[in-house]
Amino acid sequence: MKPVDDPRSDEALVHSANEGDLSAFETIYDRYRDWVVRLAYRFTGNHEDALDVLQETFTYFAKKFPGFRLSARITTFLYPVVRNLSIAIRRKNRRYVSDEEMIRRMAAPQPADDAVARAELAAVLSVLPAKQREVLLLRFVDGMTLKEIAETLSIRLGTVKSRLHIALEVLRKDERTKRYFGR
Amino acid sequence: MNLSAFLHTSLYEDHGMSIMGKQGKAEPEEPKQLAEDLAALYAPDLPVPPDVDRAIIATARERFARRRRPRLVLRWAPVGALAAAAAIVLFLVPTLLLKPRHQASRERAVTAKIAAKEDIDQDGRVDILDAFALARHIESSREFFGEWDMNGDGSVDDTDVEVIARAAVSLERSSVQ
Repeated sequence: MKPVDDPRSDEALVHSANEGDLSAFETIYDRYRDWVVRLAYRFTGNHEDALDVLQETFTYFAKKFPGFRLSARITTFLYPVVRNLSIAIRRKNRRYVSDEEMIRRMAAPQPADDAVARAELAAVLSVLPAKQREVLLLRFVDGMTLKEIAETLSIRLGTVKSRLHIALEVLRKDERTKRYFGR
Repeated sequence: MNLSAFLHTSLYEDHGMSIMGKQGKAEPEEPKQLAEDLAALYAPDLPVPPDVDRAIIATARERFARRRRPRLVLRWAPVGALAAAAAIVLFLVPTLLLKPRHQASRERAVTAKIAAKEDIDQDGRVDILDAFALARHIESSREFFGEWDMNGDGSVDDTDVEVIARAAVSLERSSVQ
């Protein structure tokens, strides 16, 4: 069975991996590989660095078996790992790119029709404090619930709501992005 | 929809909505276009070369194999421990039996001197088993002999057990010297 066809839940896969089942680990890798590399790219702004982070992340994850306890979603466990490794690799490779510059780069290669809108969105995002932007992205890009965001970032649920509220307020009030809210 | 309605229906009540569709249906009042544009900005298609996949799985395979090895060791650990214990016994018993004659005779003399009073089980020596024997006697309220009143306080109780226990320990120490 190919990893992508494996019907087992994450919990079942973790259980099997704890029993020494390498194929279960491969399935977990297959499920979360793209998410990890995109997240790493979000932090590093560099494809090569993102691939390094991917490798380091799953090497670290493999060391957790046997004995790994899944108390939340796997993304909740992986997120801080990817973030910390990304910061370390960015420092090591001395390819520091500011968050604002990274957002501009990401906005650059979009198709012409969407390019303007997304460039404007990127411009507004660039002025958001990193913590608010982080919550916004975890919610809208990674699809996490507010509770999961709180667990992932080890902050209170109220703090998550507050940061998200402020970030959305900024987007709503800005002329370049208020169209997303139907006004 | 307006933002405040969105916040109250989707965010503050936290219905577990998922823009990516992993956890539930996206609600129609979500700023869907915002989610799509954010995803386009922050989740570009980033190919992972096959050799990176292979390297990661190879590393994981190595880790998993390493983890299995200690299990084998642990599985055989009791057998190993038993063998080690047997070896120690085989080594120590002849050593103890072949102790210098003068040392063994001195131990016998010390034992004999005290044995008459504290040798509860009358096996010819005073050791911790005598303390246990007296403790059992006291516990089961069997018949007491006046000679078991080790400390001479007129009764046979736990303090007499302690006297025997101390004697047993001091005997062992004296035999080593």
